[in-house]
Amino acid sequence: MSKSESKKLLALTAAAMSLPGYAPQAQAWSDAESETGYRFTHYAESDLSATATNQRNRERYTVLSHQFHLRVPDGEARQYTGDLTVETMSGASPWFIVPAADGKPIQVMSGATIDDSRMALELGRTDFETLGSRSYSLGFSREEDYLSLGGGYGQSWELNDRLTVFDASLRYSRDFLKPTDGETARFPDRVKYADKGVASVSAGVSQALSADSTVQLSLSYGNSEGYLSDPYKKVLVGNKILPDQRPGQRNQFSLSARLRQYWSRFAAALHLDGVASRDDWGVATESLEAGWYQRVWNDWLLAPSVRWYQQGEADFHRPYFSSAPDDANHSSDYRLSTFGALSYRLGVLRDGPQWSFAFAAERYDSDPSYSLRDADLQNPGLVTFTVYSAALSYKF
Amino acid sequence: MKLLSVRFRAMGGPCEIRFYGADESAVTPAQYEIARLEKRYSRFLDSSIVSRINASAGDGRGVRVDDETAALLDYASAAHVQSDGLFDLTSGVLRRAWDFRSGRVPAQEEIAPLLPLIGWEKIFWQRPNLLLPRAGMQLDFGGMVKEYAADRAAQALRAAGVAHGLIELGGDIAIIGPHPDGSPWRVGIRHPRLAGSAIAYVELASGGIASSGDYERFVEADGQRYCHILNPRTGWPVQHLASVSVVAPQCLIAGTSSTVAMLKEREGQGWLAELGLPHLCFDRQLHPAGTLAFLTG
Repeated sequence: MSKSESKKLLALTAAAMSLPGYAPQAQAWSDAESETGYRFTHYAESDLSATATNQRNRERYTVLSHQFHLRVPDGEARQYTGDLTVETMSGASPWFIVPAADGKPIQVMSGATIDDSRMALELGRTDFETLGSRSYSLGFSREEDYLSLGGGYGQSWELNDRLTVFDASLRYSRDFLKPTDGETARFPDRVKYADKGVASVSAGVSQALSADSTVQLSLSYGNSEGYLSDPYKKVLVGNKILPDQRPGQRNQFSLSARLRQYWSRFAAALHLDGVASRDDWGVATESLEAGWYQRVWNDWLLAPSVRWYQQGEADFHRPYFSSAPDDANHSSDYRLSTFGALSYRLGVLRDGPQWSFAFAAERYDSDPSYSLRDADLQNPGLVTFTVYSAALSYKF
Repeated sequence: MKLLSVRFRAMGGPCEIRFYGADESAVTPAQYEIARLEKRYSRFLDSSIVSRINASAGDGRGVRVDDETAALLDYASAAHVQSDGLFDLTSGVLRRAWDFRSGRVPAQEEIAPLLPLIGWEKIFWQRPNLLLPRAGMQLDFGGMVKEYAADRAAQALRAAGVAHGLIELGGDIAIIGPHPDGSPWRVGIRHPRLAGSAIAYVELASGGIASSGDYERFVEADGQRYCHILNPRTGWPVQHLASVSVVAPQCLIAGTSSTVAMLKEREGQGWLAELGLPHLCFDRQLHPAGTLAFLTG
């Protein structure tokens, strides 16, 4: 009898070792388990620089966010998810821009500190099929001056021995606004009630190139109609301060490409993402992101990433208008201006069979000099922010 | 800390968890794990992965399976190779001809049409995709899930802080750890002909022990015993051994090995010797043979 040398026994033992729990570092299976999670996020915008505004209070927005997640499988082929978000926001936001004596734009901030809170709930169901899945979602989001109701449907198809996956989704939401102090004596030109609809469709294909690499391409189209202006922003036109005024329609296309490459030799994966978008407001954006996911020891993962973003301004954007533009639209919102941004992120994750933990920090810095496009006049409202998040999840 | 015993029914038979602990609450995760596996690999629940696999037979698209099922299929595939094709998850389809509760022996005409549906080599298994090419083919995890569940339940008990105990699922045993003083557990091996009594006792401090035999489900006709262990090539029951017990570091491997030894008939003992695991066989005349030290009383 050859106790320790039996090839038959070695073959059986090797096969058994990939079962969960048999080997010390065996993986867990996830899709038959329920999962619950919590994420805390702290988002803080840096104060405006002293040269961007002449106001004493240069404080901007801070958002504290609590997210609760639950996933419950129902049999082998269906799962339900629920996501609840509760957020509190406080601080001041850019209001309008005036020229200094030399023509340099100076940001005027909203006077009082805004305190608001938001609650959002999203419920989803996914049905897994032999070669693909269907998912349905319904959600709402509510703030004091805002209510959004939405729903979506998505489907995926797996082909070619599952090396190719097509997916398509559509989503619609209807948003109702009732801005604070609308049409009051203090803010007579602020809209009292408004609404908008946002529809989007997207389609994509992902292709496994090898066991360790995948590419994905997707195209999406979004249409917004209704009141698309910001009721709290104003803009200097000639010598008048008028409400922010944008077109009642927006059509946007975006194309994205992703590469995921895993190297078992390094226990690491590279994620590369590129996105470009165009819309009929004249806004054009491009972004590139590179992330490195490195397994450090056992269940720990370190994930540094860097992202570059640039956009070209909307046709009707200027920090301020010396004379009235040809049409009625005008905005000095920094989000519609020409600028570039760089962000750096570091994530630390620990994946356990039951408990998982993640911590991430991100620094985002926007500046016209990061853009390949030239801005005639720099919008002084550009934002710089820091995000910290901590998340915990438990499978049961 | 005292010696506690929790008895319950699962996996179609009586089960017992014996362990040293403060109270019986420590067994809940293990019972939950057994129930989870029973539900997941049941042939009778429409929502189970096994029902989903079997419903897909003949569908060229196949099914995609989860990691745990994939690992079990990989294991079954290894066992098929190491048993020279005798350990075969597709042979469960013979249940259509063999009904051991009816007391009737099927005619060859009932068995022959099922044989083309049997054969692990006929299915396409490339993780995570599984394809049963012919309508009517079935996979039956019954020959491995009980032993797997015993191992998983032992892991769950260890995770719950239990260091000394054992779990028995319908005759298959996984040891959690020895008695607190380090001494082994004394476990009985079922008597193949006297239900409810032991033919031998063995001492175990770790690993698992599993037994297969012609006594679990059988039909008797014309003075012959037709047991539930069916040769996948002929569709007919094995005849040579009455029972085989194997000790292994994992109850799953012990169970696979005892089943394969039964299927190997005259070559069973030689196959076990080649495997190198301690074993104890009784032939139909109840003569013991093997390498496992045992006591008789």
